Amino acid sequence: MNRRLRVVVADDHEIWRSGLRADLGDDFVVVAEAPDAPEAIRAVRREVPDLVLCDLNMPGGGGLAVVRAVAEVAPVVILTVSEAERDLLDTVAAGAVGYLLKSTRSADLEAALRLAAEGEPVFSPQLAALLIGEFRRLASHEPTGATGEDPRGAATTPLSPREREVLGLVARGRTYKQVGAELFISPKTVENHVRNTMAKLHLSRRNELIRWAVDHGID
Amino acid sequence: MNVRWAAEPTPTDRGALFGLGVFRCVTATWAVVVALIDSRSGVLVHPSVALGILGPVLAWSVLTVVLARRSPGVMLTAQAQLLDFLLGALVVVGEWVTYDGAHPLRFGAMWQLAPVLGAGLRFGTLGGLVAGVGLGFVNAAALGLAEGLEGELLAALSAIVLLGVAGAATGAIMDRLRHAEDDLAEAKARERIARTLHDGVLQTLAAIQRRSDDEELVALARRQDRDLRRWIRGEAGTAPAAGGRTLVEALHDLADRVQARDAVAVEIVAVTDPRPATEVREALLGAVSEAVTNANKHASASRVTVFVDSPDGAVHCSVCDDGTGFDTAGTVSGLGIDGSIRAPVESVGGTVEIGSRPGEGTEVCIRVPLDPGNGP
Repeated sequence: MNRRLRVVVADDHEIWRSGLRADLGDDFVVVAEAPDAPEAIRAVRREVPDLVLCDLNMPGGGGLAVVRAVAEVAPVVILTVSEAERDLLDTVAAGAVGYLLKSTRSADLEAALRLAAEGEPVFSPQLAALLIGEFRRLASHEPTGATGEDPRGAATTPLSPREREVLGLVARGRTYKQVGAELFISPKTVENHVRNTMAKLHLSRRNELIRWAVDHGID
Repeated sequence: MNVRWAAEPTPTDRGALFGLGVFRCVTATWAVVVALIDSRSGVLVHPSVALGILGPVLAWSVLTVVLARRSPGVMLTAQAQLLDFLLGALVVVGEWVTYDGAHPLRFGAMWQLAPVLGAGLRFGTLGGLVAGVGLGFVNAAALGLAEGLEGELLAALSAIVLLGVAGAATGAIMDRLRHAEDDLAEAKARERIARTLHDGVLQTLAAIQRRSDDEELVALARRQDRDLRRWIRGEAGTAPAAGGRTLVEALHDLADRVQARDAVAVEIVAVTDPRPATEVREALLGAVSEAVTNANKHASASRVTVFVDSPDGAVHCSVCDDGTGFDTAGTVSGLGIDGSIRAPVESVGGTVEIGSRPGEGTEVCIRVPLDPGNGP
């Protein structure tokens, strides 16, 4: 890649922003930094960068607020100190292209960010595991048709057997190419399956919210 | 009894002491009014004695309110408790001395509760019970001296029981409140520390893991990172020794050890953190350890992913590497697969499947039941 990627970095810790700026190397140029969500949203709308790197916990609504506001403008990658955080999946459901642990080594970080800027999901094995757990949770809360054979009654959109297979293999550390070879499909198809699982998460979360609102008498 | 001479009052103590002080003032004022009315109607035959008792009682009552606000610690001293109890006894005795014969109302009936409640507040259930019963006996003795216990035995007994119950109940309630208060304070402190850690130390530990080339330092930072997080989640009570750690935590420890020893990245990916029986867990950890070592030693892998899930009451664990792989049809002895992976897993009722082809890495799939004997 010849063009340098324009990046907005949002994190309330100054030391992280400067550390990232130093580590990102020659392929990236940090065009704006923000210490909180509102400032990050303004910066992204102003700069329209190739990529947004955003901390999960920040003043002013955190990474979730940023993703909700600018996911259409630029791909947002969430940086987090812990994969165990509850709001992580919310940001992915809201349209973040993925997340990276703050402890990710510099080389891996750069590689992942280059892919993210091209619009590919940053789909780590950990995220695949989170999704597997989440869809299992959604299915167990389903009153009827947990297998998804009754689309009229199902409020959540369950994964197809193929999508479950793909997630399982990604969680075991396979690349899209390896997954494709194993399932006799092209890597591009694998990528589509991955995208679909994220879209289904998005849809399921929305349906869950609607159902919750109906159950609690909110119109 | 080991008495604390000046206990440190908690906010709950302060509130209760103030409330009790107000109760004393109101009932003492009420007692003065009753005594005045009764001396006018003639049933109170020694008004000067009655007012001589009630004067100090009223003064003490006002003082307890002031003390509860200014220095509540004084109210918790044994001296204050003793003074309170003696005044209560004085009121009880004074009633029987100053009245003549039958009377519908007694001036001290309410005030004498205050020392009993105060003792419960200060000394807990037993202290309240002892103070209540003690004052009840003082009452019975005074009654006996003044009018004889004949025909009044039931009244005397019920006073003992009621005062004892009041004191004990106050003590029990205060103990509960103090426990709740302690729990709340601890939760608040933990939350405050968690926020500080999250903003400070955890960020630094992440930075070390990301930027340091020193594998040992990185492993140390990773371990500290996880321990702190565990503490934040409130699981710090469990010993950091292997026995106290969950399966996934033990796998992380294993990964840290391997990464510190060999130049191989080991990633733990867990959907859930299953809790198998100890022997199952030990067999699984041993097998995973061997599989990871194989990946590094024989397959020269650069990256190993250990995946854990438990979708159906059994533990599924697969160890995948990006190494050279081997032909599963050929000989696999020398890799320790039979002895160090298959044998321990099968001894607890589990199964092992190995998938590999030359050039395409290896996957060791281990399935073990949560309880040995329940084969998966």
